[in-house]
Amino acid sequence: MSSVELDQVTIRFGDFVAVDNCNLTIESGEFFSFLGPSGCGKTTILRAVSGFNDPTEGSVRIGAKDMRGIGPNNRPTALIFQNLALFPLMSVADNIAFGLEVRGIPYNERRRRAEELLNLIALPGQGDKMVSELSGGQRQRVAIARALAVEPEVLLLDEPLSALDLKLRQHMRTELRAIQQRVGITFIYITHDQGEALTMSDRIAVMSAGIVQQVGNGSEIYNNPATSFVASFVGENNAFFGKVSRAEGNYAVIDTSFGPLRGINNRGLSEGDEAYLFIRPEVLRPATGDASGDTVFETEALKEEFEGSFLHVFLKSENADKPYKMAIVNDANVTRHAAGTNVKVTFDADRAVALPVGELADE
Amino acid sequence: MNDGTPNLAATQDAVLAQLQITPSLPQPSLPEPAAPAPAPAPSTGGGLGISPSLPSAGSSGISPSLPGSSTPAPSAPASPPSGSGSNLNITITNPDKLPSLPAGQHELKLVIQDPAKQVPADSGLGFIEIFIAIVAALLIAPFVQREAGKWTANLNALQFVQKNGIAISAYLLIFTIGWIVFMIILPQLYMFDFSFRHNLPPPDIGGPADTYTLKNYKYLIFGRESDSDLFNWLHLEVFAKTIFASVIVTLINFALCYPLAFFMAQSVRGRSQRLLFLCLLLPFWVNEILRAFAFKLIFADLGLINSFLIGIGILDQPYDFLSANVALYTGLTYAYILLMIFPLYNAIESLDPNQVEAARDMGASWITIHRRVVMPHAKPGIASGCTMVFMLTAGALAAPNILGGPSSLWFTQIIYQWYNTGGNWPQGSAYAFVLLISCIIFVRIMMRVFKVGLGDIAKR
Amino acid sequence: MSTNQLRTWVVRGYIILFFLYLFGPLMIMSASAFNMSSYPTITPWEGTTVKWFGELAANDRLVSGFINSLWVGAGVVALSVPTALAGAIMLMQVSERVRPIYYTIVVSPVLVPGVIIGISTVIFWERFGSLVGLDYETTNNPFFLTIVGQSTFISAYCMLVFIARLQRFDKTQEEAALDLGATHVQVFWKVLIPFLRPAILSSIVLAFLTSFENYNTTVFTMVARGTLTTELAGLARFGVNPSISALAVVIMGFTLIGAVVYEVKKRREEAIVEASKKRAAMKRMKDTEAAAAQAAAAA
Repeated sequence: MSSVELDQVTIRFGDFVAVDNCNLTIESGEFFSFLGPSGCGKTTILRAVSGFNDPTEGSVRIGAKDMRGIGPNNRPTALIFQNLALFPLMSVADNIAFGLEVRGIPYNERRRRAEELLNLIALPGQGDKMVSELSGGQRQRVAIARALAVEPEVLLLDEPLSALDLKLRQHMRTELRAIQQRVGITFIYITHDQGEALTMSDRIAVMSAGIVQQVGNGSEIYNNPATSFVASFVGENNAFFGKVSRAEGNYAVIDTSFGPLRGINNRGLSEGDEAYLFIRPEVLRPATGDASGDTVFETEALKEEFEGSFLHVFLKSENADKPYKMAIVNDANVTRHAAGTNVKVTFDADRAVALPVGELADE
Repeated sequence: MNDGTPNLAATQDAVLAQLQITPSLPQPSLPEPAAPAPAPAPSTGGGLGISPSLPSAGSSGISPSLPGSSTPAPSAPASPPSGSGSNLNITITNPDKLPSLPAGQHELKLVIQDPAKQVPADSGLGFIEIFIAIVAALLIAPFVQREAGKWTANLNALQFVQKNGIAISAYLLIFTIGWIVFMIILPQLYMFDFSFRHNLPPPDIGGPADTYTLKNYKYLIFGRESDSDLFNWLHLEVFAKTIFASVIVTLINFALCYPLAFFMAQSVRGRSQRLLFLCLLLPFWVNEILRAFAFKLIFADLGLINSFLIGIGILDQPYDFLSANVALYTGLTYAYILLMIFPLYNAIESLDPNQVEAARDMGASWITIHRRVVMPHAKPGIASGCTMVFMLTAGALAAPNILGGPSSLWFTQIIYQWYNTGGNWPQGSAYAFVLLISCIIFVRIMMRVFKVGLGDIAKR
Repeated sequence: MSTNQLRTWVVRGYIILFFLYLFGPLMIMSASAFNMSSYPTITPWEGTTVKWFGELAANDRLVSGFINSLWVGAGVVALSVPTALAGAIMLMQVSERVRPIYYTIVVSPVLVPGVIIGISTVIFWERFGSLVGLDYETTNNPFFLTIVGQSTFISAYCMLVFIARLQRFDKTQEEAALDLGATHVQVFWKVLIPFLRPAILSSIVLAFLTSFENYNTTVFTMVARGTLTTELAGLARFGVNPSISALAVVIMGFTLIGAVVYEVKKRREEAIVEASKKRAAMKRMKDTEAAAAQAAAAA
């Protein structure tokens, strides 16, 4: 009913391709996120769904109905802008009731619905204040209430939390998820912060340079990335470059500058292919002295950072600018490593992922 | 040919020639329904297309009567001028060619044309109309080109309507295009076109005499053909003096306002600055006519200045300041102070006071500081102020009318005269156009010398 | 030290002379309104009177001119403000390449001498009118011609006011309104116009005042009639008597009142801003004190 379907959507501005052949379906009632760095096309997709740009090719369907040619004021969507775009000359209640006002709903009814929504967002009785008198978090909630007032089938959120401070952001993550589940409508959320995407979403689409790299839930994206970009963008990851020397069953062995290392091969790599082996910092751990094999390698410890719950050990990698990182849980057995000493490191091959060489996310 | 007065002889010949040669004119309907209306015989050779009838065949004297029936002559619409009462007698030489018309009173309208002139059919298309067609074609062409499949990222017609909705798009387009076309461009073009035409009375407009001519412009330079002088010294002198005086007034105005603008921008802040602004603005809320009038008071024979000068003994008789143009120049300088101060002020205000301090620290004299630090920074303001003051002074009409003496004719006053007492609008348009060109040239020079754009000049 | 003192005195002297030049003539003219002398002057002073004010009110031409000025002013406001707004919005929307040309065209009336605008307006409507079939009454109606002629350049002035305000407009508000279901017309009236209100008010005042005191254009377009300004000019030129000075006093009186009201309003606004700033600072101080007290108590 309020599903959103992007069917071979390509959006071009002149010669520049902002979105390249996007195909995905967002289920009704789902909290769906587009995750990617700035300029990857996620805002463009959001604007295409809300009606501000029509796709150059392909079609956008909401509830199975093609939206081409239908303007933003006629679509069953509501957009929460990055800068909130609240109306500064109107009171909070008037802001919230605006969508009702333009539909011709009488004053008393509008006022009542605004009060209801103010209760929903935990700002009861604040309707007569002006927008400028509210804090950032409060304004955020007013923007949400304003959008919910028109009872959209799909709510679109454009990096809504990026302007808030850390504590507030974390609080709002829970809030937003709670609101979505209470109201039950489809949320399409775009962000460059993977923490947000992972904690809030049912499913995530990771994008880079206009191309959707992978669509899946948080656990799939994190544990089973489909491309090098996804592996390096979501969470921290260590990339070992090499050629596939052996590929059998689920595994592939890659000849890296640290020796042959083995990992899961879900993407059909064959012998001779160039590949990255991705191992997460928390998957690496110090090895005992006599450990060896294709899940062990040795390198120099550069420095350590104690971060409370984890001890981060920086290891010399093949790229002087990007050392590897090993994250050891801070339990009773944690051992420290002096800078400059050699360490042996091991990992579980089932949690290492071999992927074809591709674009890596910038830091 | 009875009673034909000598100077009408030629006219009579012309009329007779007309009566014989003119091809058939459209046959009018006859005024008397009662009488059986014979179908007026169309041309038998040179037919007579005269609506009225003639009292009887045979030679007759007919006095042309005055505004009467509607002979659809190919030219001259509207009512012909009322007659002066001169009589013209006409003899019909070939009465057998007359259609037989019922006896009775009829009216005859006579149109006398110069037979020597071949009248080309008036196409009705002037230079203006052709120009408009070309401009329209140029405007439409890009749209046609775009529709042919070349999409650009620029806003095209369809996107514009989508972006703004139909109602708002219509509002925007109608008002903007209406303004640009009907208030800005076309009037100027029409005036330009008009300046190349003869000064014709309304009935003749659009007629055969309405051709193009350079004589209006020639007049400015050469004057009347009957004058003995080679050039129209009077008007040329006025023009030169207007321009020259405007330049002088601009310079004086600048010298006067610059120090105050500097002082206001650099030395004063907050409340007293606002007070200063208010004080400056106040006089300019008063009508410019009244301001000019105030100077007339002061410089009059019995006015303050004369009384003062006589009182302290410098003069023993009132000096006619008005004729000497002193009043005019003072008044003109006064009139546009505001327009010089504000651009200067805005430009100087954006200068970092530390720069002035630094220059002073380094031992530069005040002259150097202004010449090398302040003025270069204030260039846009200077250009704006000087341009506006020049244009308004050269185009001023109120102050010269009120303060000008008989010898200080201002160019705009000549234009005004052509429109009022002179009754020669095309001539006035030509002069107006010369004024416009001068202003444009001045603006271009200022823009070039000071390297500023049009937007900088127009901002206040 | 003495060169500095000298400089200060020179500067002070210059400013005094400047303002003497600026205000002197007006004050003298105002004074002459009360002088019995039938030629406006203050020397010689023939006795104090207020009869010229009565003469002023009885001058039919001036009074009818005043009424004409009001009508023309209203018409000019009605025509130029919407035109200026449309022009400003279009400027923001045309493509980058077209913009400078467009701007030059619409700003050009500001730089064209008023007499030329007046002449060209009259000629155009006369000729164009007959081309298109409009009757003589319309094309030569002084009010029509004056309103159209003045609006040509007054729209440009107002447009500059609107552009300045529009540049600070946040376009996402329009998008938000559309997204919430408003039609384009609703967006225009409920979002854009409220934002532009100060500019609209400024434009109305600017348009009216500029129209009222215009001479160069009006003297051509007002054909057989006159506005207050043109009638005044006629009087100032020929029928000189102190009732003109009386008018000057009246106008300056109104202006002074207006200026005083404006200044008082500004001062009051400033006081309010100062007061609220003070309150905010006090509140912050109290909050920090309270927090410190809590921390001390908890320790």
